[in-house]
Formats: sequence, structure tokens, C-alpha cells
Amino acid sequence: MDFVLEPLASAFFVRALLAAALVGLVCAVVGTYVVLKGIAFIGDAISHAAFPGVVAAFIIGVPYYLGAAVAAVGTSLAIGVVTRRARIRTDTAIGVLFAGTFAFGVFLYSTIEGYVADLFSFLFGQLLSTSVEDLVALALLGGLVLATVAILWKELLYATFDPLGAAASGLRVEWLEMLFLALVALTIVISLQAIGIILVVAMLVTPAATAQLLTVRFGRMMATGVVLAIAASITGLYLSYWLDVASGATIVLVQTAFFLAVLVVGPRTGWLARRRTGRSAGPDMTIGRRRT
Amino acid sequence: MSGGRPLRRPRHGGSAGLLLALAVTVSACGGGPAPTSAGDTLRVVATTTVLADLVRQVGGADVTVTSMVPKGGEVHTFDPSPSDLRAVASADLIFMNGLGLDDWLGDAVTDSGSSAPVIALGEDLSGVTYQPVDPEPGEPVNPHLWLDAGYAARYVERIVETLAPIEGERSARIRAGGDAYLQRLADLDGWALARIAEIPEEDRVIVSFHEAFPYFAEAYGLTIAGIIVGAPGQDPSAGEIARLVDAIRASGARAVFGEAQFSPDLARTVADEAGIPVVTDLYSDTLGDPPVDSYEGMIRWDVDRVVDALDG
Repeated sequence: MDFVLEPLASAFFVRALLAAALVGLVCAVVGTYVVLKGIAFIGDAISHAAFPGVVAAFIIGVPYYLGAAVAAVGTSLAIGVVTRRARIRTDTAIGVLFAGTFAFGVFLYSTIEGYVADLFSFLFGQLLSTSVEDLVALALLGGLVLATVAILWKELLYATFDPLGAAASGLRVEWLEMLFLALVALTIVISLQAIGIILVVAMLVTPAATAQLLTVRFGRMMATGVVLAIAASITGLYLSYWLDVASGATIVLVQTAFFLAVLVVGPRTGWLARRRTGRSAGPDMTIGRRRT
Repeated sequence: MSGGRPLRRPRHGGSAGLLLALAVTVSACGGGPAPTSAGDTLRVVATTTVLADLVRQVGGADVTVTSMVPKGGEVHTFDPSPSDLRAVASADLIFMNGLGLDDWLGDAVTDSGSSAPVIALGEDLSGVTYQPVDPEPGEPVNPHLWLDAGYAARYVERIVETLAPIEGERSARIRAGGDAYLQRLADLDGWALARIAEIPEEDRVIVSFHEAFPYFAEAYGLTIAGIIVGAPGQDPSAGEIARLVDAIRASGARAVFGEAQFSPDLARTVADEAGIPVVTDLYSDTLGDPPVDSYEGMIRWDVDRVVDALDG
């Protein structure tokens, strides 16, 4: 029991635990759509794009998350617009904008002098320095993201799986698309302090991807992703405590371990699937395709 | 976030930058190392603002000193910019601290093609008790000697020995300037010792952000119960923070001292957890805005902050 209880005696650990679990929850919910839409690298692009926003906020002297939010939402919308207008593939638009915006962040960074050690903490996050104010902001903004998903549940689902049908039935798919990208951007902004620009894409993608290996049903996939994400956050933070290693990276490694374990053993792609296939004569097409 | 602080400053003073640019042009046109051409003063580059100030105090109007790490910058993880390399290329003389603090200077000197002599102020000083970074034998030596004003005086003596022969007819002025400054440093040393002595002895226990203050503590009678980051840029893990908090409670440390060039978040986290006050703006590796714009100002500032926090 000491293994579990001793760290809880430290208030900073409890705050970090809550922050990691909250970030895991929100990221897994939004990440489910991200994985199903096949736009995982948008997460990476948006998080890197937040960097110039953070630096600019520092220069102007406004709270960092305002700058991060403006830059992240702006870039996510720009990816949407560039993709449509320039008729290039989304991954190309992402590649161009993500490197460009991050380079602009480094450029801005090199123009300022001194007192900016904080900025680099955004690259890897400072989960252990989570303050009570950070937690409140995380809960409020995370709640906003979750509430939006809950209210627009049906519309988002329809637009994700059947954009043409959704458009035909009168839904404003473009508008939903933009709103969704804004939600991704907001999710990333609230995750920056805890997990950092470089690793946040894992929080967004890995739990949802692991859940996808376990189930094909949307609701169940999201619920599984949330459970996996929170479990990884808690396990990772405890491991980092007892092994004396970086917390954000350990959480991501635990998520990755979950993914690999499910991939190898899981019911759809792994050892269990093979056993089931051996027993029943004809596996369905999806499983067969996925395995090869 | 320390959002309100004025952050945007030009990377170099405008006129100094212009002079350097001119100097580069001159030497490029003339071919080969030009004799002291920047207003007929010796062009000196120092790695940090602290060392630059020591040189400036000794050399006065006879030297033009620039620091590579800007004020408020972080020396351990510094990455020189093209204008830094330009300054190194046109320098007549380069001062570094050595002992692993500013090893990046070696690459900068090579890359810039500079042939100026490089003097390590902190290495092989007589009358100095070097402290290892770690208590284990064979560990490297802690480089932050200058935070003991008595050791800073050793730096100044070496600066005088270096400058005086080069400066020829002005060497008498350099020696006089050096002597006057050494006297001020001796006064500063005595003042710091007396000021810290105002704190009851059992309260003179602190936690510092990075391993910058062992010589300061040794000289002025403080005990360092723990440090927050082992090496700048390497944040502690949750377990390390928890153990540090235990050490603070066991040692009865009275305050946590963050440093101006680092994020205050970690220092706050540790101090809150241990339930002791936090001071987030000691100066160690870099100077700042007045009154911390000189070495003497920095030591006075740090001593006052320590006394205010511990003698309450």
C-alpha cells in the first residue's frame, strides 16, 4: 500500500495526478475523433504551432495560454483553408504549416533576451509544477471541450463518418469541421503545461488508437480510450515517482506500452485474434485485412 | 508566468554593436589582425555579464567589454548567435570562467577563426578551496567561484595581470583601477559577512535552485540543505521533489531561493510543499537590470534577499 499511498502525502503529486488524469480524459475524447478521421498529425502540427503563440504572449506580456490558443486555433483553421483552397492533401498542408509556425516560434524566441527559461518548459511540460490555478483552468477549459462534444455528439459523429450524407441532410459540415479543429486546438493548449508541445500528440492519439484495437463501436471506443488514458496517466506518474524519471515522458511510454501490448495480445490484431481465427473457420474481412 | 516583466531588449547595445561591425569591416579590409582600432581601446569579450563587469571595473575607459551571454541569459545551456561569433572574431582578448561552466566558448573561438588569447579566470587559482559538484571523489569542480567576493578578487587579480602588460603605457592606470576595485571587493566581502551574521545561526539554512551557491554559502556562513535541479535544464522527478521536501523538513531550511534566469514554478512548488517561503530572484550566473547591473550590486542584492527571507 505504501507504494500507492506514500506519494499521495505530497500535495504537488496529487495536483499532478489530477492534471494528468484530466488531460488524459479530454485528450482521449477528442482523440477518438482524431483517430477515426485519420488526422493524427493535425495534433502534432497544432501543438508545434502553439509555440510562436506562447513566445509572442511572453513578449507582449499576456498569459501564455491566450497566445497559445490564438496561434493553435489560427493554425488549425489555416490548415483547413489551405487544404481546400490550394487543393493539396491535408498532410502536405500540415507539413508546410507545422514546420513554418514552429520555425517562427524559434525565430521569435531568438529575438528576446533573458528570463525566458519558462518557454522551454513548454516543449516538455512541467506537470509537477501544476498549481491550483492551473488545475482550475484545466477543469474549466476541459469542461468546455467535453460539453461541446456532448452537445454536438450526433452532428460530430455524422460529419465524421459520413460527411457527404451529413451535408446532404443539411448539416453545415464545413462549419463543424472548423469547430472540431478548434476543439483539437483548445485540447492541446490545455495539455501544454502538463505534457509539453512535443509529446502532446501521444496523449491525443495513442489511447484512442489502442481503444480502436479493442472495439469497433464508437461509444465503446471512446470510453475505452478514456479509461486507458487515465490509467496510463496514473501508472506513468507513479512509475516516474518511484523510478526517478521524467513524468510526462513516462506517461507517454506507458500509453505506448498499452498500445503495443494490445497490438500483440489483443482480440482484433494479436494473439487472441489468431486463436479465435484458428477455431472459427472464416474470419471477417476487416480482421483479415488488418492482419496482413 | 512572469508576464509583466520588460523582456524585449536589443541583443547588444546599439553603439557597441555598430563599433563591432565597424571593427569587423576594418579588419576585413586591412587583412590580418588589426591593431586596437575600436576607439583605440582593447576589445574584450567575456562569456558572462558577471565576468564582463569585473573586466570593466578594472579596465575602465581603456577597454570595451561585451558579454556573450546576455543579461538574464542562461550560461550553462547557452548557444552563441552569429553576432556573438562576430564579437569573438574581432576580440583582442577573451575571458571565460572555465571549469565546465562555459565550455561552449571553445567551439565559438574555433568557429569564428579568432586567434585572441583565452583566459580562464576560475581555473588553477591559488588560495582557493575548490568544491566538487558531488561529494564523491573524481567529480568535476563547481565553477561558481565568483559568488564568494574573496574569490572574485582572485579573478580580478588575474584580470589585472592579463591587461596590464598588454596595455603598455596605460598599465599604471589599469593597476590603480584594479587596486581600487580590489579594495571595494574586500569591503563588500566584509559587509556580506557582517550582514549574514545578523541571522541567528540555526536559521542560516537554505535551498538553492541550481548548484551555484556553495562558495557563497561557505564564505558567508550559510548551509545549503538541498538544490532543486541537479543540472540546469534537467528538471527533478516527482520522487526527487518528495525527497527534497523531506530533506528541507529534516534540516529546518528556512527558505527556497529560485534564480532570476530560471522558471520560478519549480521553486514555488517545492516551497509550497515544504511550507516555507520562496524567493524567486537571486542572481548567480547573470546580471540584470539596476541595481543588479554590476557584480557588487548582485552580491548586495543576493545578501539582502537572503537576510530578508531568513531573519524574519
